[in-house]
Amino acid sequence: MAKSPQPPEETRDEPKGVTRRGLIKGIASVVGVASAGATTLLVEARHELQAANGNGAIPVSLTINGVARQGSFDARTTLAEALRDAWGLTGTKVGCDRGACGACTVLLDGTPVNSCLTLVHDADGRKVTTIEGLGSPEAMSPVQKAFVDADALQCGFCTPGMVVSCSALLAKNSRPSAHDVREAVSGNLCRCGTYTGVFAACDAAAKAGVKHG
Amino acid sequence: MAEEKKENEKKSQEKTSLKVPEATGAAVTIEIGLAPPHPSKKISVSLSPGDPAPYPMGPRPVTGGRRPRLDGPIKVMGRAVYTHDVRKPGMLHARIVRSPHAHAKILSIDTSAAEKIAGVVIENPGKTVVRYHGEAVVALAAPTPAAAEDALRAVKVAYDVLPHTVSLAAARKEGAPLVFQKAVEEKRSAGDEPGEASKLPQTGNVRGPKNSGKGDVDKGFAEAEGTLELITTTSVQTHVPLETHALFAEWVGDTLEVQASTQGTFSVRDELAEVFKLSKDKVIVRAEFTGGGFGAKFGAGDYGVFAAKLAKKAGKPVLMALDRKEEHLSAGNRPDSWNRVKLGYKKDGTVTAADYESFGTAGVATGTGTGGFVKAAYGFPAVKVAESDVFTHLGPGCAMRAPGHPQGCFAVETALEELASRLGMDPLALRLKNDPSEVRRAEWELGAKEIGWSRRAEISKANAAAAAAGSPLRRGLGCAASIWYTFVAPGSQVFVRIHRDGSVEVENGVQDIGGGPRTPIAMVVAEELGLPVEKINVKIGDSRYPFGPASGGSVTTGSLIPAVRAAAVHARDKLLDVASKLLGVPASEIALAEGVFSAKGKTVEFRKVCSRLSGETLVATGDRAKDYDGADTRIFGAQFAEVVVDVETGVVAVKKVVAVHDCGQPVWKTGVESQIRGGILQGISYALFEERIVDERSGRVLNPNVEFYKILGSKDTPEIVPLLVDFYPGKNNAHARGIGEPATVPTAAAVANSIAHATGIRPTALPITPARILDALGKRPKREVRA
Amino acid sequence: MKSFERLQPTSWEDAANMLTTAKEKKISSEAKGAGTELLDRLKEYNLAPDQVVDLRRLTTHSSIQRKSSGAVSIGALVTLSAISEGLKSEFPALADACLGAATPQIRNAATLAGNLCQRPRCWYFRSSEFQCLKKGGVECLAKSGENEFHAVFGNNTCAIVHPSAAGVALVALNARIETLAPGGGRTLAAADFFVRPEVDIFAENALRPGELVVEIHLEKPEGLRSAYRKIKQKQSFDWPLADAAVSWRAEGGAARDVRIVIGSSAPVPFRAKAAEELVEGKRIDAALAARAGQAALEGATPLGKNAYKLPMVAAVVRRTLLAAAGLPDGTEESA
Repeated sequence: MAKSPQPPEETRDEPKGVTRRGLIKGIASVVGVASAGATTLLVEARHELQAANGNGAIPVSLTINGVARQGSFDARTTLAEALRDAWGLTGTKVGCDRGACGACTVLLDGTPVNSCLTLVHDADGRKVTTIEGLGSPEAMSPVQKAFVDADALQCGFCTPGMVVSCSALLAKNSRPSAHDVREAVSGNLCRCGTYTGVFAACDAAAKAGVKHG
Repeated sequence: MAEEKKENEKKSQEKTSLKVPEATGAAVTIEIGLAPPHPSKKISVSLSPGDPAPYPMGPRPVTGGRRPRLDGPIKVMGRAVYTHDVRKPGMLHARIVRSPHAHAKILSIDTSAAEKIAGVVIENPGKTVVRYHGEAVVALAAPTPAAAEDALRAVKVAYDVLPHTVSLAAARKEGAPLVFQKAVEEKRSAGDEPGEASKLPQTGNVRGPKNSGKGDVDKGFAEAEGTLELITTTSVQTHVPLETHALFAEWVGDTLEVQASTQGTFSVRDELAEVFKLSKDKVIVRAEFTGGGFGAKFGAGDYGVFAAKLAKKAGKPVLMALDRKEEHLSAGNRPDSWNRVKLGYKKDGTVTAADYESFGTAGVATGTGTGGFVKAAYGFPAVKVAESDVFTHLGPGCAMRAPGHPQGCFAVETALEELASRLGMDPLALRLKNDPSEVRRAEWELGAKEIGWSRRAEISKANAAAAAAGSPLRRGLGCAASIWYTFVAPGSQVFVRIHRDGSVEVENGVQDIGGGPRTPIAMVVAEELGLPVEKINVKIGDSRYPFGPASGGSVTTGSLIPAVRAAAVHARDKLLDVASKLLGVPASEIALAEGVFSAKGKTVEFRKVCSRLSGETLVATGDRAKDYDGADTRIFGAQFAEVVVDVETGVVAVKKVVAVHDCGQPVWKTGVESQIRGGILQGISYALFEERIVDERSGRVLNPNVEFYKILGSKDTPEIVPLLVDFYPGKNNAHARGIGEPATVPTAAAVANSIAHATGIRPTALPITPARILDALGKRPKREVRA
Repeated sequence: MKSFERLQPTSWEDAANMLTTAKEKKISSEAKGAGTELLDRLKEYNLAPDQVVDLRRLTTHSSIQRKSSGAVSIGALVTLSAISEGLKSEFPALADACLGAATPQIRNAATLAGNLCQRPRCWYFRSSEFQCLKKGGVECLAKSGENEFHAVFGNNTCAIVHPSAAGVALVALNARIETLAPGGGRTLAAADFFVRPEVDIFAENALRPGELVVEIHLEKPEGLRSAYRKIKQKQSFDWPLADAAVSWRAEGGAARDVRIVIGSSAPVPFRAKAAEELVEGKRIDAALAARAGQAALEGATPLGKNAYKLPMVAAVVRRTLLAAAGLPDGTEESA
């Protein structure tokens, strides 16, 4: 077995705070390592690196929870991956990675979407709100508070997505019917079975006059 | 409400005005049974040394109440760090190369291209054969998820595909390709019912039968006035926790530090210690938040061992998180089943004997028996059970919420429904005829009232009218019984630490898989120490804390709560000694409530007492004493369902479920009710939707996703009414028992029986799909199939 | 998902040129709208293009245009949510089809053109572990395999069902689909947009390489009635087991120019011609709708595990006709 080339220091700390400069520098120096080790491997190594790190990182800038963020990513990077791996916003969960469970739901310009089916570059220039942007430890949003009060959660893994979906519903429709609530979270699966709590929480938050989560 | 609270507090003051003499261990008389107006029973039990006497009958100030869960805020804000969320500098992301074949010999594994990707480490255990689609072959880790995926695709494995067998029926046949050449030894996990692994005969792919039973079955059938036999089948159900199995591993010196998405902090520690030949103090497992488990997340798993090996090899932390497909294929499931139930009965509906046989496949694993329900649920005098596992080339089954019981319940409750119909009896009357349990009888009564069972005849009439009017909708009511058992994880232990500043910590290594143990633990301690629940800092999910139960078998509450209470009582006793000195009053005369010790008009604040502790910290230990002898270990429940069936399309809508359960004395009612709701929703999903579909030719699972493996969603959720009987089982100092499993046992059967009422068909296969309903209604066209 | 080069065209013409150039250079490339469906296939390694041409940022063909005649033009990039909310009263068949086509999150992102161009959900096709006929294999694996969710009509070659709910509605509404290609665009009747496996086993529509859907045109004749209904096992998002869209012109109480289209049942949105003929020129009532449902089964060729779909097809046709006529179908629940 060939010894695996080690990434240089510059890339070791990824995916925390990926910057364009850092990544490109990283790629360049990794190729350097491979070529120094065995010239014959260079072509293959370069190909593999391209596969590993993409056809070059593309810059992206967007607003996340009101904060301007920049990054540089391989074109295949999803918004969910960027949020979790690069920006440390792990409140957004990945449950199925195919848009079927809704755990990754975020607001894109105020509209709920699956961040696992959104490429990060498709969010360029747009406003993203994640669960972390809906309330703070000091002050939960009214929807979050209603979730706690109604015990609309058990393991809590689907909960951020549920909260985001409900918050979007109430922002658009302050007096949702029972049908509206069920429809709004029909793309959010919960295996612990907290739906009735979610309905109750959404009702309570609506009655409390929530305009926006 | 407020009045009641005050009254309760008063009572509590009276109670705590006594220093606990029972804590020395004694024989005491306790009152057990259903609360008034039902008659109770007094029994004498001997307390283990150090264990307080059980709660007397009557309300308590804190425990038994409802309140928001303590970890609610951190979860709704997305700030709870699950294993999936661990991010450490330099961390590698791991993936597993898996078999695309059901059965194959591995000819070669070429990892050279993968190794050329920067930073990739590889763990190749050198497997020579794979026995199921999705079996792990090689693990690897890389600096980014994308690089790991590219490396995964770069590994080249050459297979020689071998014959496979993937269905229960085919695998039972003589000459079917063998899954194992040799006899298989059963492996037990923390999720199994306690007991020895069984040694059984093995013929072909069939392992068993495992025979058990009670009473004289021959006599029972001889006394019968009639017999009834039917066969039911159920499909493979996968757990689908929203957080897939995951383990983060990091070697710090000679210590392996782990965060795991697990139901068993300590079972993960013990397994890793064994695999890596480490002493228990050299493995640290954290599991503060687990995104669901339902029985699938006990040991470290092959994926977890891979993570630790890769971390060692790389000298870097490694996160291994399965994707949804891997989760479906390799991380466990509820085995399918084929069940034959034969009942001997009297014309008045009394069952005289039951002969029960089951076959099921857990793929390459064991443990498919479904005979528990028929033995324990009702008062059948004689029962004979034969259970066999059938091996197939499919991913391993494992424990899943009440192993074997939803299947067995469906079989037996379908037979009882058929019997009622044959005898022209009301289905509930037939059940009461065979149910000697006082607790369950109380449950049947409560539930029948809540669902409106008396409407049954009226609903039948309305259905006939609907049919005449050309409407395709039919309504139905059905019921089924639940049975489960009190299991205890011995050795559970709790520390209560009280600091000089008055702060209180409770420590136990137990994990939170959604049941939310922090909250009931805090409630028990708050009640004993007269403090607000929020003031109790509960620290869980770490193997460095005292031993706690794995969350399986509904053991968490029953194992933990009595130990929590013992620890809190011991801590309080020590504080009482200090307070006694400060107040100049004997400890036995001091009351404690709302943060104040008081006696004879004199008071001293909790904090003040704490500030006078002899050491910086008071540490009190609570051990889980063994259960008292004599009381019934069974947990009874009853559920009722109301459905509407569209007979033109076969689509079923569940409208309402009433669930009446025994949870002993629930500590935290909110959590208990949430567990019941969850059990019911999984049961409905099992009844109507869930089915693993396998391609027979290739042996591959076709729906390892949540798109075609269908699980219930918001619009399939009915009204749910959870009800609890006020019951004092008298097994431990808190009358505590679990609820996670009992709540899911009868739901599918109750739904099936309500479909039967609505339509007149007898569903005998789960899931009850529209196709099956249309078939049973004779609506599948006769025209011949053209392939 | 394999890494790819992201191309950002500045116009639709630019995008079509990028795709055509890639084809000429033998570079694999894919057009992407919202990407909700494409990403699913990329993640499954169902395909691994070298280039992805992003259409989502183009500013034209992204809105609903209304004409004074009542006709509308829907840009390729309009989301399913926008259609389900915006065209509810005028074209209920299309609005309801879009409403049921996906989860709320996906409807908020997915485009109409993407819904029309999505690839089949057949598990043998989607999994990279199978080599089915559509992927150059020798046989349709569903026909002799697990076909419970497969076609009951037109399944002789390949048993996929076309997954587009919007397509069912557009064929029923006789929509025209406008395309753009480097050599010039064209306008196709919706029914001609979808192609059967016998015509092209590797594609489900008539688009040529580099050709893009840009606009969907709907006429609104006087007295247009339309509806869409579906039957699903699960009421939260689930692929329909059968769905249908109908349209006609109400003329003096009679239905004229009746179009009845069945979905989730054939490799293309399937016109139930016999049912259409039965209904044409008549006043729709419960009895006629039920007979039309039965007539819709003409020509069905169910496979080993999907004959159960036939009563569903009959039911959904009956119900959709009654819905368009504003009549009850017997499933209205009394409280």
